Order: sequence, then structure tokens, then C-alpha cells
Amino acid sequence: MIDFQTVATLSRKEVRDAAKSRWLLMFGGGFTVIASALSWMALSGLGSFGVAGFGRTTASMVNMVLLIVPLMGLTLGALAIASERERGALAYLMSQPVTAFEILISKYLGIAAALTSALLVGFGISGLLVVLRGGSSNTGDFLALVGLTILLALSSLSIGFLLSAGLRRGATAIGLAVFLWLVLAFFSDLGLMGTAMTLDIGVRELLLMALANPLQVYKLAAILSIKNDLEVLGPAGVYAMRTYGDALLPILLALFVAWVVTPFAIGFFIFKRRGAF
Amino acid sequence: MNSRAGKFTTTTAILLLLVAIGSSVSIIRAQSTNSIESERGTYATFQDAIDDAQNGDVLTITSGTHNGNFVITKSITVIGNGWPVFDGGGDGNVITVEASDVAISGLVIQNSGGTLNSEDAGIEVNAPNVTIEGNRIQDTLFGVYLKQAPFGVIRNNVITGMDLEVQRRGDGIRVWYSSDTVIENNDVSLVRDVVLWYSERLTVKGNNIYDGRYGLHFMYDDDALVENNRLTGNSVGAFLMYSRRLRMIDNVVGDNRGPSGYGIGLKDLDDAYVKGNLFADNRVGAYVDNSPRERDSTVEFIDNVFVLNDFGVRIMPSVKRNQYTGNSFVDNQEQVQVAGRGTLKDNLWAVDGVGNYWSDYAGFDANNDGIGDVIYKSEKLFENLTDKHPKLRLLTFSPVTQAVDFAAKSFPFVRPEPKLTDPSPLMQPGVVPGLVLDNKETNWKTLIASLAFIGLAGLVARLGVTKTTSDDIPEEKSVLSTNNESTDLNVIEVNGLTRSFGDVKALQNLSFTLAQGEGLALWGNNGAGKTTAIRCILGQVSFEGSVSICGIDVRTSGKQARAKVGLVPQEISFHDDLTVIDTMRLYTRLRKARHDEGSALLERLSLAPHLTKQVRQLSGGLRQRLALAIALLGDPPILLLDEPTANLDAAARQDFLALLEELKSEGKALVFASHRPGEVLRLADRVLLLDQGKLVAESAPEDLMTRIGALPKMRIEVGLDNVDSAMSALGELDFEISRNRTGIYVTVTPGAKAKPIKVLVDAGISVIDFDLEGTGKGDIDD
Repeated sequence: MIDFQTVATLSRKEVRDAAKSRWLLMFGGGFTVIASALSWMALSGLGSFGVAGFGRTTASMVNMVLLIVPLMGLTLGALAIASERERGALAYLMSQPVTAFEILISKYLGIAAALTSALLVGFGISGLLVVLRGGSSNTGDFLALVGLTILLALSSLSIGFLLSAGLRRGATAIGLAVFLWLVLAFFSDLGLMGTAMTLDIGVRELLLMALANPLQVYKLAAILSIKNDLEVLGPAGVYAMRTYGDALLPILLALFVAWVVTPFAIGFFIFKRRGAF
Repeated sequence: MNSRAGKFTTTTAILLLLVAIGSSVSIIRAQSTNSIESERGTYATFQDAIDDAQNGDVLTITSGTHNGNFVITKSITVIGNGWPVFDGGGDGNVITVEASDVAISGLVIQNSGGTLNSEDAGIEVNAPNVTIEGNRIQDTLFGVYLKQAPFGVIRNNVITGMDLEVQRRGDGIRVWYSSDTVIENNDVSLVRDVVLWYSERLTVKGNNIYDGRYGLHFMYDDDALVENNRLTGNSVGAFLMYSRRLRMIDNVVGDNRGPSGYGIGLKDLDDAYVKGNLFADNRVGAYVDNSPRERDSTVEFIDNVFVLNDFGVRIMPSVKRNQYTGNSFVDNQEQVQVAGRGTLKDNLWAVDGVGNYWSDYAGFDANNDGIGDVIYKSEKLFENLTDKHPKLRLLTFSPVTQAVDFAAKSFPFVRPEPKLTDPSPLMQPGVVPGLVLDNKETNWKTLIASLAFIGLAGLVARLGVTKTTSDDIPEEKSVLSTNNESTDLNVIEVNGLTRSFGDVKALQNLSFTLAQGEGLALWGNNGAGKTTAIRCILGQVSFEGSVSICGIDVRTSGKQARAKVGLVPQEISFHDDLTVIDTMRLYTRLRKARHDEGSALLERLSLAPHLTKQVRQLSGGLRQRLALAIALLGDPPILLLDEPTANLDAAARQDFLALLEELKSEGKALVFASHRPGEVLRLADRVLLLDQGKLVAESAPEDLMTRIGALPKMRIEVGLDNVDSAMSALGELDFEISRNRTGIYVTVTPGAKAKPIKVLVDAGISVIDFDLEGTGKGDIDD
């Protein structure tokens, strides 16, 4: 039985801790600055045309999100448990009348709230800039991008928690998180490129392999939400549209939810087994 | 719509003037769907009226519905007034024009047949010089169909097709072997295509064609002019094939995103002239295939804007003699794509020193002539790879694309050959006045959303700093906290407790009980298992055997069990940036204690003067007091202490031990691990001696101290003559004694160190000197 008052108390503490975290401040500040700069610069060349579309702002936003947000989620998640375990704070907390699940879910909710807030500030300010610069924007697209970005952050956070659940040293967790970020953001795609070119695999296999990466799930969902099709992604995108049709977006969202829930659940079992030490 | 309405009014006025001066006027009034009157008589059907008309007659029809399939065989003018409806009843053409010099306007024409094989149309024209103007043609398979009907005019009509799947629809307008036709200012939607085949000198101006398959489909149409049209939301904006000297000027071509998704497609065109168009948000702005096809011809793209397309221009690698000048390529995902292997070097990307604007150009213009001083080269490796392996486009927008391009820039040996080179890139994009696509949403919604996001983030941040108020604390103690346990109950029962780390057993079969108010010391060297035992009691680690606290199984109900235990660890790790009061509030909530209880504990433990200090500012002693205060929240019956004074100085240690003694006297059961005999002797009623995880002995503290030689010894100097009598006097009282030349060593216990002196004095033996010595197994500090 979950004690929601305990969860609320601990979550609030996590929000407070996260708000003072130099990692969150650094990433959140960087996200806001880059998002704002992208919006500002992207509109410079488009004002005279008055067109709306999947243009530079959206594309560069997607690109930036794919770079920064997973790094934010992974590092914050990786630090969440390992560093407290290293300091002994976790042992003290676990000597209190709370359960392991209450501690973990509280940490997750608190950090997720802080992370989401940082992203909302970034999107909010860049959205204001778009409006104030007179750029054309589709509010639905904007909201979809924000929502999916939050999902990406939550899935990254879950993966970070999974990393952190079994580790005792914060530095180790950070190192692993950065390595995993490199894998998700670069190495896996490079591997896909190499595989696709050398083995000449089909678009179906390419698509399925890509969907094993939550960053690709985000990308597909973002493009699909905004453009209503994936033709821009070439034959694999067309294949996805024709094969799954209207079910594609729900499938992608379900994959996203799975990327949020599964790492967290596995992390919980590791955490429960490993405990505070 | 306003301009169209204006033109319609003007046209109507002219036609009415013609009516006034006409030599023969027939007025047909529709009394009902089947009753028509005219000056020539009353007719049962519209067809009867036509049959009775003469060439040059003007038939004016005011309102009413006319059902049937009508054939106009006379050169007449038909004018609808009040939008009379001509309904084909779902069969064949609604109106078929077989005579030349016919004009039809002001009618609602609807409900043709729906058979593609018979090409049923709203109006089918089979004669030259026919004007179809200002009609509403709706729910027809084909809208207007000119079959070998040159010099026709299709103007100001609103043509809406049948709501069918696009491949089952007919063409909104079909012009077939009908040269010199003018198609102007029509609004065409929900149709398959607008097909213009085998017709020369066509003029297509000012039309709005949307939501179809091919907005325009040209084939074998030399010398056509396509100007000021708006082709949006179709599968393909315009596909232009097998024609010469086609001019496409000032059109808006946008949001055409079907399977091929071309804004315009040029196939086998010669001397095409494409100028001043806006290609926006298409899958492909312009597709060029085998154009030009003839050796001496060209295709010119001048002053067009390609913006936000997936591909600005897609060109087959065999294409030559295209000329691009003054165009703006703005934020297309790929500005120019080669559809296959090869480059576009046989095309001109600047004419007379004027190139094109490229939004991804990173050059400069030192002499401010508007032309970049560095050549623009399109040589992105990822684009090169996707041009050759289109399926790799799946990775578009991924960070790896920038990594690949960056690698290509950094390592020239992987840099691809440029697919195009613009020697005179423009520094500013061109402007296409008035040619804009509508914004999809008003910006104030985004404004509100943005403000809401920032506000929401502020709320969350505020949540993190909101302090607990007294209202947050339950007034009554939770079921978790209790101090009402029976004094007869063993507050801790441990049976067969075993904890293993692989092959190493940190605890082996440890069993003990603890009654309320009892003090139990865990004694042993490092690694003896003291801390492990405490962790097991708290349920923080897995173990074999059983541990129950106040009757609650720690393994199955750890949370409830921990509510009855307060822990004071050796090194406490708090949230150092929290103040004392905020730390206390946090744990007050966690332990479900009353707010006033926390305040009272802070007061009792002399922490009240430090409430606003951050925890990191506290001394070791104060931190330990804070830990004790937290441990006492909820008034648990048991305190677990893991070497609680290990990091305290002597004074702080004394204070802390005094506090613990006081708590013990109030009924708290204490379990503590310690290396300090003094602590054990002051706080413990029993001692468990642990060695390598095993319980070696359980005894009273003094016995254990004696057994391990942990008690201090007093060396008493009585002089050589008095040693024997002194040993005798002390021996009678069971002191542990030993001789040392002129003195005696006596083992003493804390709290009674002066007793041997008193015994000797009472026995009349002079004490010359004395000294207290530790044993090396633990300092006696009390």
C-alpha cells in the first residue's frame, strides 16, 4: 500500500534538491538558451514568407531535444540513487518508516517534476520568442512537441534510474550515463547506417531496429504528430505509414510508455534487492 | 472570394445589358420542377425550351429545380438568376453542349452520373467557343469537360466533386484537344485532377485548386501560361509533361504531400520558364526529370522561393541545361536532391553573376554587393549517403547526421564530391509579395501555452520550497507511532539471524531478545557483525532467520516495524543545505509525528537556538543531537545506535551519553554497537560479544569487561612493608589484585574507582600514591 503523504513529502524534497542541482541548472539553462536562440534565428529567414511547416525551428528543436534531453534525464536519473547511496543518505532514509517503492517513486516523481519544469521553461520562453517575433506557429504542433519531449525526458530518467539502482558510486553512474547517451544518440544510429549499407537490410528491419532506441521513437512520434506522415523519413517512413496507418502514433506512444515503465520497474527490483548499501 | 464576387457581379451586369438589347428574348420561369414558361410559350422541360430556341437567344432562368439530362444544340446564352438548380439525377451528363458559341452562367449544376467509364460530367462541351462562367458545379463526377472544344472559357466557377476516394473521383476540369482555352479564377476542390492534355496555348490563371490528386496535369500542351494560381493540399501541385515553352509564373504551390508529393513535376519539358513562384511545405518543391529533353532547349528557374519543403528541388542526375538564378532555398530539409548517383554539374547555378540564396550558406560578403564571397557547395555527406541509400533517410533529424557531416568536414578523405556549386550565392532571400500560405493557428494560443508552461514550472519550483506548516502535520499520532506497548513484551526478538555475502557469513545464527527499557550492547571488533545486525533489525538488508519488533515481522512489514525504531547512525548523512527546523519538519512528516512533538524534542535536546542554521553548519555533537531528535520522533520504544559517539569529542560524548541514560531511564530500549567500554558500562544491561559474525558470549557488562580485560586498573603505592596487608584487605573483598614491587594493581569498575582506596584507608594502610591506567582495549572515559 503506497502512502501518498509520504510520497508527496519525499517528492517535494526531491524537487527541492533537484532545483539546487547544478546538473539540472546547467542543462535546463542550456536548453532554454539554445531553444530560444534556435527560435530567434530560425524566424529571421522566414518572416517574409509567412509559411508554416516542419521547418528549421521544429527540425532543430527535435535535433536539440534528441541531444540534450536524454543527457539530462540519464544523468539526473543516474545520480538519483547512486550518489545518495554513496553519501549514506539513502541508508538513513531507508531506516525510516518508508518502503523502497515509496522512496524510488518519490525520487522519480520529484526529479521528473523538476526536469519537466526545466523543459517547460525552455519551451515557454522559446514559444514566447516565436510569438513575439511574429513567427507562424501551430499551437497543436507546439503542444505535441512539448508533450513528446516530456515523455522522452521521463524515459531517459527511467533508464538513468535503472543505471543508478545497482551502483554505489555517483561518478560511476555518471560515467555510465554519458556512455549510454553516446550509444543512444550516436553509436546506435551509426551502427544502423553501417548495417543498412553493408548488409542491405530491408526497410522493415531497419525500422524495427530503429524503434529499439527511444530517441528514434521520439523522433518518429514528433514528426508524425506535426506532419501527419513520415514521408520525410524516406522509404522506412512510408513503410511505417502504410503498414501501421492510424495505429502508428498510438504504437509509438505505447513504446514510449514502455520505455518509461520498463526501465523503472527493472530498476525498482534491482534497487529493492540491492537496498541502501 | 470578394474579388470573385465582384467579377461575378460585373459579368452579370454585362449579360443583363445584352438581355436588354437582344433581338429576341425568351424568359423561362420555373413554376415547379416540371413547369417552365417563356414568351414563346410554356414548356414541360428545360430541354423543350432549348429545342424551341433560336441561335443567339438568351434564356434567363429564375430559380427552381430542373431535373434531367439536358443537351444544348443551339448557340444560346443561358443565364441563371437566383441559382436555379439543374439536377442530373445521378445519371449521365447534367448538361451537354453540342453547339458552338454557347454561354452558361449562374446555374447550380449537380448530381451527374458516377461512372468513370462514361466520364459523366456536370457540363460536357463538344463544340468550340463555349463559355462556362460563374456556375456552381457540385457533386458531379467530372466538373467541366471540354472535348475537342477549342477557344473555350471556364471562368469564375466553383467546382466541387464527389466525396469519394480520390482515385474514384473524376476530374474537376478536363480539357482534351481543346487549344486556346482560358481557365480562369475557378475554385476547384474534392476532385481527382485538373487534366489539360493535347491543347496548345492554354491560359490557366488565378485558379484555386486544392484537396485533389493532381492540381494541374499537363500533357502535350505547348505555349501554356500558368499564372497566379494557388495549388495547395493536393497530392501533386502540378505535373507538367511533354510540352514546350510552358511559362509558370507567380503561383503559390504549397502543402502538396501525396505519395510523390511534388509541388511541380517537370518531365520532358523544353524551354520551360518557371519564375516568381512560391514552393512551400511540399514534399518536393520541384521535381525535374529529363527536362529539357531537346539539345538546344533549357529550363529556367528564376526568382522562385523554395521554403520548408522536404526537398527544395529533386533533380534526376541525367538532367542538364537547367538554369537557376535568383531563387531562394530556405530551410528545406534538403535544399537540392540528386535522385540517384551523380552530380548536377551540367546545370547552371548562377546566371550572369547572380546565383541563388541558400539558407545554409555560411559565407560572407566583404564588399557588400549582395553576393557571397565564398562559393556555395552542397557537399553534405549524409545527404550524399541518403541520395544513394534512400532508406537511410530514416535517420534524418538524428544527431548522427550532424556527426557524419562534421566528420566529412574534418576529414577531407570522406568528403563527397559537391552535387552542385553556386559561384555567386545571394546573401539575402528573395521576397514574393503577397504569396503566402495561411498560418494554421493564431499565435495567441501559442502565447497562452508558453505563458502557461512558464507558470507551471514556477508552481513546481514553488512546491519545492514550500515549507511544511503545522496544518500539514496530523494532530493525532498515526498508527505507526506508539509507545503504549506492554512492558512485558520483548520489543525485539531475533532468532537464527544469518546474513551472508557470498561465501562469507557476516552474521551466523544470532538470537537474542530485548525487553522494554533494557540496554543491549553489541560488542566486537571491526567486522564482528555489529552494524550488519543493526541493518538486519531495520530490515535494510536481506537475511535468514527472523526479526520481529514489537511483534511485527521486519521482513514482511518493514515499514511498520521501522516506525517503532529510531536510528542514530555513526555518521549521519543529512541534507546539508536544509535548516535544522526544515530537517525536523521533513522527518516529522515521514515519521507521522505531531508538529509540537518535533518542537519539544528540539527544545529538549538543546537545538532550539540552532533552528535556522543549515545542518552543515552544526558541530558534530549538535548533528548527533539532531539525529537523536529525529530518532525520537513518533516516540518509538526502541533506539538503535551504531557507535553513536565515535565522532564526538569528550565533552560532547559525555553530554550525549547523559541524554541516552535519561532516555533509557524513561523506558526506551537501547540497542547499540560500541567500541567504548565506558558507553557499554553506562548504558548496557547486557552485552553481546560478537566475533566474526558469531555470538561468542552474552553477559553483564562488567563481566564482559573483565573477561576481555577491558576494565581499568589502579596502581596503588603503599610501600614495601604494607603490600602484603594491603593485598589481604583487598582480597577479602574479591578485588582482582596483583602485586607490583611496592604497589598493587587493582581492577576497578567505573563509578566505584575510589573503593579500593577507601578499603585500604579503613584498614589503616597508608596510601602513598595511586594511578589509573587504561588497558589498551578501550579507553575508560568516565
